[in-house]
Amino acid sequence: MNVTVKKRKNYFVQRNLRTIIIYVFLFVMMLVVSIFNDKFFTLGNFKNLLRTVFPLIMVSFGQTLIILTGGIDLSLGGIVALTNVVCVVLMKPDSPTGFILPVIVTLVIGLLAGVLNGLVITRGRLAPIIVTLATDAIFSGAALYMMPNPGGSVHRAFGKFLTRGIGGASPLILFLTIFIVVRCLTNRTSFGRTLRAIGGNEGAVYSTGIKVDRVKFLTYAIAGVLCAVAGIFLSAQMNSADAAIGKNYAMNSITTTVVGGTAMSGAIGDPLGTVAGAFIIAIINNMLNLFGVSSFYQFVFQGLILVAALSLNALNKKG
Amino acid sequence: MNVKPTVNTNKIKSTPIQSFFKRFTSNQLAIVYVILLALLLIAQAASPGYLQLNHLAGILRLASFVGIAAIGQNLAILTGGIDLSIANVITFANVIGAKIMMGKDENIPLALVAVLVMGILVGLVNGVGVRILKIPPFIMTLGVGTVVQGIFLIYTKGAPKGNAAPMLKSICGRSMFGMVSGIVIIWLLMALIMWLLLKKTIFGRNIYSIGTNEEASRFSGIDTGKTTFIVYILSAVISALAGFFLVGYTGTSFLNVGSSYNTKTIAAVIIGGTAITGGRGNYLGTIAGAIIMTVLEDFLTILNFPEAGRQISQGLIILLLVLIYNREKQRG
Amino acid sequence: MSEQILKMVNITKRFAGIVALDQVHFSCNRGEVHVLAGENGAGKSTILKILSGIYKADEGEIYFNDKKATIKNPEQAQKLGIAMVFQELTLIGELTVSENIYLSIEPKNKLGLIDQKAVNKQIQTAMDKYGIYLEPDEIVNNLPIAKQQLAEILKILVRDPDLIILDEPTSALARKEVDQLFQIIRNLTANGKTIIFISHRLEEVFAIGDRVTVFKDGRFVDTCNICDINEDDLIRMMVGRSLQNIFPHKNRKIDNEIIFEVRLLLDHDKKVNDVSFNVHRGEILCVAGLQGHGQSELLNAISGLHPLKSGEVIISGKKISVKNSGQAIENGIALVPADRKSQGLMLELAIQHNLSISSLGKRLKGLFIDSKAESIFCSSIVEQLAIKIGKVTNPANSLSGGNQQKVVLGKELATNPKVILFDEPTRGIDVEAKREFYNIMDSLASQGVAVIMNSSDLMEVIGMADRVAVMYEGRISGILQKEEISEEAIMRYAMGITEKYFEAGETA
Repeated sequence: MNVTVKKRKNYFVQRNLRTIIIYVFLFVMMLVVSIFNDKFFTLGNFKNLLRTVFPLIMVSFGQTLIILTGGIDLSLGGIVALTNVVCVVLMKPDSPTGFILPVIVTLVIGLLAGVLNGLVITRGRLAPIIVTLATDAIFSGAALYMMPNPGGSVHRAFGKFLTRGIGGASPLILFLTIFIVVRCLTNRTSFGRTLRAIGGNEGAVYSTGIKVDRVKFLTYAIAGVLCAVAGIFLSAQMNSADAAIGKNYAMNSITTTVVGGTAMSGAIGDPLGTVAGAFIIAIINNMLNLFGVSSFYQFVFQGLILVAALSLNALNKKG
Repeated sequence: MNVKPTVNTNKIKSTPIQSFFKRFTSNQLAIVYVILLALLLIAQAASPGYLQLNHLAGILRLASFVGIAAIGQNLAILTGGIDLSIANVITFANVIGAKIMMGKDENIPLALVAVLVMGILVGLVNGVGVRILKIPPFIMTLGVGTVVQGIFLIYTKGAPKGNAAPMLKSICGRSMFGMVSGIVIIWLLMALIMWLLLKKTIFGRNIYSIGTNEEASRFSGIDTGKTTFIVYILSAVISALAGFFLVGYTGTSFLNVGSSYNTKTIAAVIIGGTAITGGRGNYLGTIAGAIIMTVLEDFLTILNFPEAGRQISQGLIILLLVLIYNREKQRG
Repeated sequence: MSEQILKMVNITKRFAGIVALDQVHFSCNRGEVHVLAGENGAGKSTILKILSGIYKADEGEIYFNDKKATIKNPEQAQKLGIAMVFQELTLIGELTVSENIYLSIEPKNKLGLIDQKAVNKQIQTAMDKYGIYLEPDEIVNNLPIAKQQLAEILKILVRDPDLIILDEPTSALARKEVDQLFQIIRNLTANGKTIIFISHRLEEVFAIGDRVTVFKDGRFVDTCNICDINEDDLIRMMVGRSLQNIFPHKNRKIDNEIIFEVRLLLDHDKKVNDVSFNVHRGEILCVAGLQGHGQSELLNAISGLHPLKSGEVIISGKKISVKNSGQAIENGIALVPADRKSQGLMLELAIQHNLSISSLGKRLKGLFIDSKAESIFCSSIVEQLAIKIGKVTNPANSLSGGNQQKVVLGKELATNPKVILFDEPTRGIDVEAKREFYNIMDSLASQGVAVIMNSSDLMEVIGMADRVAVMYEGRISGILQKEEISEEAIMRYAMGITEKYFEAGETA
């Protein structure tokens, strides 16, 4: 038998170039920030940072999955608001187990919201942007209906455990668990391959004999659940709910995804990069606060970062 | 083998009523105006007196702001794009306009110029992103919209100042010509121009071509870059104008005066039968779409629906109509 | 098990009212290579897309392994054991070779995660088995088109179907790779697999086929054993008449005057590499070569649609600029593009819109389009090209392939071109429309318009060309004069074999 034993070329760098660049950028930025803020590299600061970005990372994971399929979801903010409100409304702060049912129901509501998006997009053969624009109005409207004014309270022990439990490590553990699951999903499963392939060329995937609609549908459903996790965490963090809380999540999750190196056209991207994207934005906001810059500037910066990241991607593609 | 006579199953004769119905349902313009009529009748039934002339005049006056802003959105969507910076451009125009006007007629020209310049600048940035950097329009305009929001927050320090000049107030006020407000006349004029632009000019033809098939447009010698660029500039300038007129309507300016306009303009355009994928539709439908959105909001307010209910119903009506329209497309 | 693996009976398919397949039959025996032959537009791809679940037949029945089969989507086709190598490849450019080949059939470990080691091992085994060697971790977009075609074939082979459909699998392959593919096919049929094979190259049909079924204009013509017929018989069945009657007689007067010339055209990624040629008055110049050697890029570059780094474009001795297609049109260059659906037409818009879009400026009344002049213009074009339409306000997708292509041509002719480029002009149109197209090209050339045609159909090239420029890897590897034109000579140059064998060839 004629066996050609050829050493496989190492494609690691080529495949992960975007993610590597974004992490180099993140670390350089951290170093620069630490010059101005000697408390930056402290455990307390990192705990704080993670708590701040946790909900955004969850939503951004969902957005990343959807963008990898070549879609977009403008309703994720609405789902966050809805699940946040549902969680708090159902909470029984006085009963020792009063948090179990709310958490389950909230996750189910998030799932159902994602299912609605997925169903309408795949069954109706409609553009994701217009469907999710409409469902965003429905979800945030429903949240507002249930809770016209911010308020309510959360199961004390549950809230404390979620945000500061296990020596303050519980957000980290939760984050790592979900991160590993999501990254395995995108990079190590057949589902993830298919998801990217759909973003690359949906028609070709269909011709290969794969259930394109089912994969797309599931992606929106998973994103809904991730938003519910964000909604629950936010309720624990604020110890209350606010129907307006979701407002900026759609935009912010797109920004972190794009900054994290995911291509808007789909197929290319990595949740690992999205994590860096979220931290970069959080640190910039953190610095702006530190320097006493008015929060108004955060909008300008965030918009500029998004446009800059997109432009870099575009120039990169051209060159 | 048995040779069967070939029967063309597609050509089963339909009754005149069926064929009328089929022709009707394939005409989205007809659908949208019937929906408008039905909505008005329902409103009249639920709240007698709804169809009184002066109430309708008020509805029209409100609808004209959505209608004007939707001109730009309609152009963007016809090319296969979308403009999500409209809401913040409207607010920015609103706060600039009010601040420069300071309630004096003689300041109107300066305020108008400042607002238009702002619109052109925003449109330029959108155009550069969409055309030159080839960034998907919705995300480019979303990002630019956020920057604009930051800029007007910084500009006003969170507390907008100034108020409308008397002349602008009277243009946008209750009655300029009998019952018809000046702003409605302006809307009609702009609608006429828009109609001519789409129907009778090379620019209009190019917009439909690009929205249907951008590559074929390029192969046909259309400067797709220039056309799209102009569309985004027009969109920003027209929404800036809408924001400017809104000063006359509210008398002063608010930081959330424009915030609902992204959804409202997109809804008006889509309800009016323009395909979200571009290339199909026209402004006549959008006019009805703008009025439907206004009636819906007004009607629900009269029924004491909370803000939440209005939001939900807006979302539902968009969803419902795109589903209906898409069914028609698949059948044909 | 019976000998017959597939039987398709009375299959009819219409697209927007136009009949693409009319009550056709098609059947295959187990273990054979069955060639499906027919001209462009005969309905070959349509019936195979029905078989593989991409399209749904309007009428007719399919029997697979003697059982009635309903194939609603590609997934069901694959479950039955039918898989297709598509002409337009189904690889995902952003993924790697191995990710593409094992898409959705990846070996998994106990946790349900992809077992990358097993993937690597399996792909190595598969590559050894079929003798197709590719770099498994390379991103598909970085591969040349021939390698992509091989990857596509391997992707189907690892799925191990009983019936394999190969739709023009060799269009980008060189001789060596074709031979290798044929070896693979022989091994497969020896193991009881059945192959349906489509190719433009007649010699391949005779080299590999056991039986052939011929379609013409959407109808079944005949099925027969390859060994019972010769090339002439096959052509007669496909075309329905002898070749002399399709192509106009080459009796144009060819001047020495050069009416169009390009010098040293070079683009950024060497898809077009130092290309020079000229066209004399009255002449038709054809461009030929294997798929993906820069032919379309060359035509697009001349039309301002593919950016050039350097080079000159000269019309009647005057150097012109072609920075964009608008400029090219203004200077008298028109292109009938390769893909009329994505490049030629706005399918959903009115025929009138399509016909007039490139020459709107000629019919203005002040700022506005003169609608009266436009409808007069449209009806004159429709009449001139004998386009069969209902109303000019109907959308372009209501027309048949041939008439759609005529609309594209009409749009281009309306710009009064001095140079007209045809890129695969007869792909997917019926024989009658083809004949009309050839006549139009002939009369354009007689009128002094420079006519250049790129085609992968060698019969067409040989039938139409006064000279042939053959491309290989972006360069012109040889220009064949009228008397030198033959299938063999073109293929040699197309595979990059040049002066060594052909001293007479005029090279650029």
